Amino acid sequence: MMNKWISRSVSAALLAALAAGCSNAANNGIGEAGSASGSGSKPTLTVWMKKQLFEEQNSLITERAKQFGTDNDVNVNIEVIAYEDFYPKWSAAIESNTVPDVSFFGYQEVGQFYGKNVLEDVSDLVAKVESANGDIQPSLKKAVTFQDKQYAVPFWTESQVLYYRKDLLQNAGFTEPPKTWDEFREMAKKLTDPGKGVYGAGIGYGRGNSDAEFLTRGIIWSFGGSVDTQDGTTVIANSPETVAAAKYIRDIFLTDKSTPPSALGWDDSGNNKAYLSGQAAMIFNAGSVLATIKKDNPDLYEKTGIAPFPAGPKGTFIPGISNNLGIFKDAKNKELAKKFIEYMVAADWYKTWIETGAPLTGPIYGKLASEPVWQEEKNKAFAESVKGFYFLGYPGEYNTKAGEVYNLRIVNDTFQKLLLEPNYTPESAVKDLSAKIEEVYNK
Amino acid sequence: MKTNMNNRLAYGLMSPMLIYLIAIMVLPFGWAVYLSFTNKVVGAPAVFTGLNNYIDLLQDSLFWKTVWNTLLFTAVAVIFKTVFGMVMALVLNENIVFRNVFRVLLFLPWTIPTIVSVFTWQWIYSDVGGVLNFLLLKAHLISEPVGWLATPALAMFSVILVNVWRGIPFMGIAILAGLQTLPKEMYEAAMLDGAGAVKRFIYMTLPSVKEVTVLAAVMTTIWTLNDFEIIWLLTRGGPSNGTQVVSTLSYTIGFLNLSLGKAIAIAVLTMPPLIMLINFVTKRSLSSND
Repeated sequence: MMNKWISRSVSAALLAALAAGCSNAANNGIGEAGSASGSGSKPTLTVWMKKQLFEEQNSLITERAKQFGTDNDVNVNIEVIAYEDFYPKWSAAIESNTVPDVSFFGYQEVGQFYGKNVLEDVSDLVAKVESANGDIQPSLKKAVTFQDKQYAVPFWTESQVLYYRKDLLQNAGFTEPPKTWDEFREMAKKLTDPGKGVYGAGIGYGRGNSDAEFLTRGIIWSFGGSVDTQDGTTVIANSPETVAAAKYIRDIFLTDKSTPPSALGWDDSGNNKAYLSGQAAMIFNAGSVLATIKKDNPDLYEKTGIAPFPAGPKGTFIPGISNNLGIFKDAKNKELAKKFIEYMVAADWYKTWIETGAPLTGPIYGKLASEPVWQEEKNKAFAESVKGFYFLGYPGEYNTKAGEVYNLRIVNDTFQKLLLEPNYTPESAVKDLSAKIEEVYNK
Repeated sequence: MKTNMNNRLAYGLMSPMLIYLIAIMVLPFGWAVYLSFTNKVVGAPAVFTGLNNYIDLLQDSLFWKTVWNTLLFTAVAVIFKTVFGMVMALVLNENIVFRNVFRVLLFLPWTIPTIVSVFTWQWIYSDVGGVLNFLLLKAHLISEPVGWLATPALAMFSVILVNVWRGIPFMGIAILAGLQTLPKEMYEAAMLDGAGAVKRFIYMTLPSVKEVTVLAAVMTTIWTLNDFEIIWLLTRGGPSNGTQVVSTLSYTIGFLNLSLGKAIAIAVLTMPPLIMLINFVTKRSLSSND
């Protein structure tokens, strides 16, 4: 017992030291304590929530959590944390057995932590939430379901869509956004004018770029390829279809030169900046860009069109993004945590919260997706995309290995190399990609 | 009898520090070394695997690429920081107009929080409205904006530049402190004997500040070897692992892949050169007081 305690304490100290030694931008003022109220014998519920782009949504969450504390006579300690800070915090918490009662998880992390056997089965809670508020969209539930059990409760979704400059497309002779990837390539080429600093395709491949990880999968899937398995064990990445998708992406960058010069160094904010500055005529992004320009740049907002992902030879494939609330197995107040989650997704309050963040934050309930806010011209594609979500692991089910492949950014790294080295062929790239993915699956 | 009492008193006075060192340094370090011999991943118990982590690393081409990047990054950055630090110290040691203002301005990069300076450099390097591309375009040195963080070689150059920019003031202030101790009379005598500026620098200044320069350079080497923030915030080790250094690789493996044992093994492998450098600094700085 003592040994276990010592090992946990030392591990936590090590992780904390490693995190401190490697402290990064995200630690500077982004993580923020919400409220830690009261004292005495009341139980304290600890909640880790992802910091939202819109401050109003953060405030609503904090107020709601406080209200839960008042209504249930408990202390609620809610921390609003930047996404980049979650991994060090989760790691230290798991090792030191000081996990929060409720935590935010992307579905990738739900899979990863399910694989580590540290998450609580919350199937009963999901059923309860659905019976009280209506059905959760099946695609979102599927992303957190393993062996027919749910390990988190979907909280909100984000959809990637195509942003395009209506005015630039019109000037180039196009009346509609691209419906297929071939049309996208053709339009991007025509829209590119380096002399004016305008590039048709705002696609970036910086290391760690999660937008690129998702977008590349979307393209590969629509060409009929995969970066995972069909059966959960046999990697099927090395296929003519994946090679065709790799060739397609390479051509946009190297043959057509339709991407900005710095695109290979972009982080997740790269395409946002390129679109906001007028450098990129078309980008793929979640609703954050639209929300920003609506507020800060009404002119650009008017010039912006939104469309779903273009289709490849096998159809349209939209990589799903699902954000969830979950409970660690070692949480101290599991029943209270379940009650809290139920409280947070109660449809009446939830509707206000989700619509405050529209179109970035999409609803989990199918019935809320038909609310007027999602029928607005520019918001429609975001809500409709959810039905066509595909998740990591496709064409197989999402699994922990697929999550690891994503987290390691193997796809991103391989495509960076493909786009940086002229002699590196798509065939070699896909072969290497497949070998690296196999390494993960065979571990 | 008195000696025993004195010894006990000495141990008594030392014990808080000793306990602190054991709790904060020795125990975690020992545990870390042990974990590096296990397959420890976050959330699962550690299983002893002997030298597996080390063998895996030594057979991994990415690890060797990372080691090479770390050495390149450190060597180039330290050389430039030392050279420019020396120039800065020599200039600020002269009786120039607004000397104090220049001193404050030149020390600013060292005082600005890393996060602020890195975000500023991100903007400087940007191909949209970035000042570096703007100036080069205006000077007709380039025909279209350059992606400073978009190719491995340019990205390495860019992260070194930021590290050098941040590190020059430390070298400058250390060498300047050494220069301030040199008697003016010595230089006046040399000038009367006909020694020019270059000769005075080579035969008088350089030998006089050699010790402090070497010490400061070694300390800078230790910090540069451990640098994480600049690279992580600018490139995350990319593109194509072109700026991947030991600290960023360790962080990626430890926190994103949750493989704590392997991440610590990387850190442990970097210990010997660091221990040698620290030993060098402590020996040099403490020897005169022995």
